[in-house]
Amino acid sequence: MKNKTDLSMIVLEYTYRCNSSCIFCYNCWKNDYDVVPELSVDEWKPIIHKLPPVKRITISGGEPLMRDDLPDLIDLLKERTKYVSVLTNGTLLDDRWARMFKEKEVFVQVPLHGLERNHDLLVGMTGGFRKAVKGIAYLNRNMVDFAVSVVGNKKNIGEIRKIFELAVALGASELLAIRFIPGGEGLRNLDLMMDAKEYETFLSEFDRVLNRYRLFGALGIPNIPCKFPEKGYKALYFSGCTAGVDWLALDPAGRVRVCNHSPTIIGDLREQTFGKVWNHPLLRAFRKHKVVPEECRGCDKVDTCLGGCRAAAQTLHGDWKAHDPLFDLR
Amino acid sequence: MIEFCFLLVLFSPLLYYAVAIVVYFKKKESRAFMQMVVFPLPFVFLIGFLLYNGYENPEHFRELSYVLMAVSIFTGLGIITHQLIDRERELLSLLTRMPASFLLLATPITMLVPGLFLKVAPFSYVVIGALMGIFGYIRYYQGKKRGLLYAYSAILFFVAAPLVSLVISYIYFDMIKENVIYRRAYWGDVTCHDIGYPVIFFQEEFIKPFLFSSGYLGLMAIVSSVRKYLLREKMKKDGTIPKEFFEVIEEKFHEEQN
Repeated sequence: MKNKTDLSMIVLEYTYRCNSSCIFCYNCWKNDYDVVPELSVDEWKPIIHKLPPVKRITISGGEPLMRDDLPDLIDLLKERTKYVSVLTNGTLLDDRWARMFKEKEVFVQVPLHGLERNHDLLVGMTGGFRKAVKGIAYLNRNMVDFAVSVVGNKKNIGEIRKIFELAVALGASELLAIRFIPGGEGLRNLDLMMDAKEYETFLSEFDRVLNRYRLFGALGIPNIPCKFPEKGYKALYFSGCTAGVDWLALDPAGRVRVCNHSPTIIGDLREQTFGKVWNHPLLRAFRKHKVVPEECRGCDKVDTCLGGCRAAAQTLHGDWKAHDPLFDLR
Repeated sequence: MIEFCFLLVLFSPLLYYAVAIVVYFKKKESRAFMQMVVFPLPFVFLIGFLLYNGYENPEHFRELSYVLMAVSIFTGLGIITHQLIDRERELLSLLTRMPASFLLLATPITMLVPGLFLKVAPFSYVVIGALMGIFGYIRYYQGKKRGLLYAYSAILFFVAAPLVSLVISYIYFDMIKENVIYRRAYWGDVTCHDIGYPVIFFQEEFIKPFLFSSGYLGLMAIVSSVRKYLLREKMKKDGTIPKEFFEVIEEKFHEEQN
C-alpha cells in the first residue's frame, strides 16, 4: 500500500496491564475510559494491514512485556515499518527478552525516574529500580540499543543531574527528558508539577549531561519557546509536537487517539478504514495548526510549538485550545 | 622501511574488513558491518593515490607512507583503547566517530613534516568531504538528527568552499601564476594545473581550520568516552549502580571466557 499520508509514526498501546503503579502515569484508562478487551495478534493483523508504511512504530502500554505474544506482534509490525521500539519499565527484562530484541533489531526505551529510593517511590514498586537496572544490564549484555527516559517532576528535580548521569553510565545511547504533565494517575498528583525555576533546572541539567557525554537527547513533551527561550543550550534538541500531524496512538483495542496522552477516541480501525480515521475533523484541525490557544494565533512559531502540549491542556481543562500548564508558569 | 610501511598501510583496511566479517557472522551486527565496510574506504582511496603518485614520483610515495603508517597505528591504538574501556558497545559507537578521530590523528602528523600538509591537502579535502557525508549519513540513519547537519556540511564543503576560494583567487590574480607553477611541479603533467591557486588558497584557508575543528570533534569523542568510563566506575564504587548490573555483565564475560 502506498503511503498517501504524512503518517510517519504510530504509538501502539499493546496492553492495559502493568506491574508498576507510577504516580504520574498518563495512561487515560486510569480515569474514565471505555476499557474494552485487548486484541490478540491475529486480531491486530487486519488493523496493521490497513496502515500505510511508516518510519517507526513504538509499542507501549501498560507494560508490553506482560504479554508473551509480543514477539509475534513485532513480526507483524515489521511488515509496516523498519523500526520498532518498545517502551518497557525494564523490570521484566531478562536475557531471553533482550536476545529477542537483538534478533529482531528492536530499539528499547527504559524509564529511570530517580535514584533507587525515589524511583521506587515514584513507580510504586519496591525493588523496581534494581529490577530495571538489571534489565538494562541484559540489554547491554546483548548489545541492544536503548534510550533512558526520565519524567522530570517536583520529587526528583533535586537529583535530576545524577539521574541523567546514571543513564549515561548504564550505557544508554539516547536520553529522553519528559516533563510531568497531568493525565491518568497524574491528575490525582498535580503537586508533581515543576515550577518555572525547576523546569529551567530540568532543561539545563539535561543539556549539561548531553553536552558533557556527547549524547543525543530530546524532550518528550514540547517546550514553549516564548516562555522558556531555547537559546543557549548546547546539545539539547528541541522539537515541536507533531501528534495528529504525522503520528497517532492506538489503544489496546485498536481504537485511535490523537496522542497517547489524550483520552479522546477519534476512530476505530476494527471497523473503519484508515482513510476515514485520517480525515477526522480533529486531525484535520491539528494538521492546519488550528488547535492552539488564542494568544498563539499569528505567532511565527505556532507551527512547531502549538502552544505546548495540547493533550495536557485538554486533559486538565477539557479544551484542546486551553493553556498547557507550562504556559501559565510564567 | 618504506616497503614495510606500505605493507602496513595496505593491510590495515584488509584487517578491518576481516574484523567486520567476523563481527557480522558472530554477532549478526549488520549495522556494525556496514559501518566497518564504509570506514576504510578513505584508506583505500589514499592507497590508490599513494600507488599512483609513488609510481610517478618516489618522493611522494615515501612521505605519504609515513603519514598513512602513523594513521594506521593511531587508528589501531584508538580501537584497542576503546575496546578496553567500554568493550563492544562503545567500540561500535566509536567506529561511527572514527572519521573525526582519523582527522584528529592525521593532522599533527602531516604538520610535523615541512611542506607535507600542503601536498596532502589537495586530495584530503575530497576525502574529508566524503567522510563527512558518510559519517553524517550514518548518524542520521541511526536516528541522530544532528547527523544530517554533518551531511549538509559535506555538501557545503564540496560546493560552497571551492566557489568562495575561486572568487578570492581572482582578487589575488597576480599570485596565480606562481602557484600554477608550483602545482605543476607537484602534480607533474597529469592534472589540475589550471586550477592551481584556488586549490592552494582553499586548502590553506579552509582545510586547515576544518581539520582542526574535525580533530576537536574526534578528541571530544574520545574524551567523552573516557568520561563515561570514569562515571560508571564512580557510580559502581558509591553504590549508585547496584551490583546486579555488574553481575549480569560479568556473567556474560565469564560465559565468553568459558
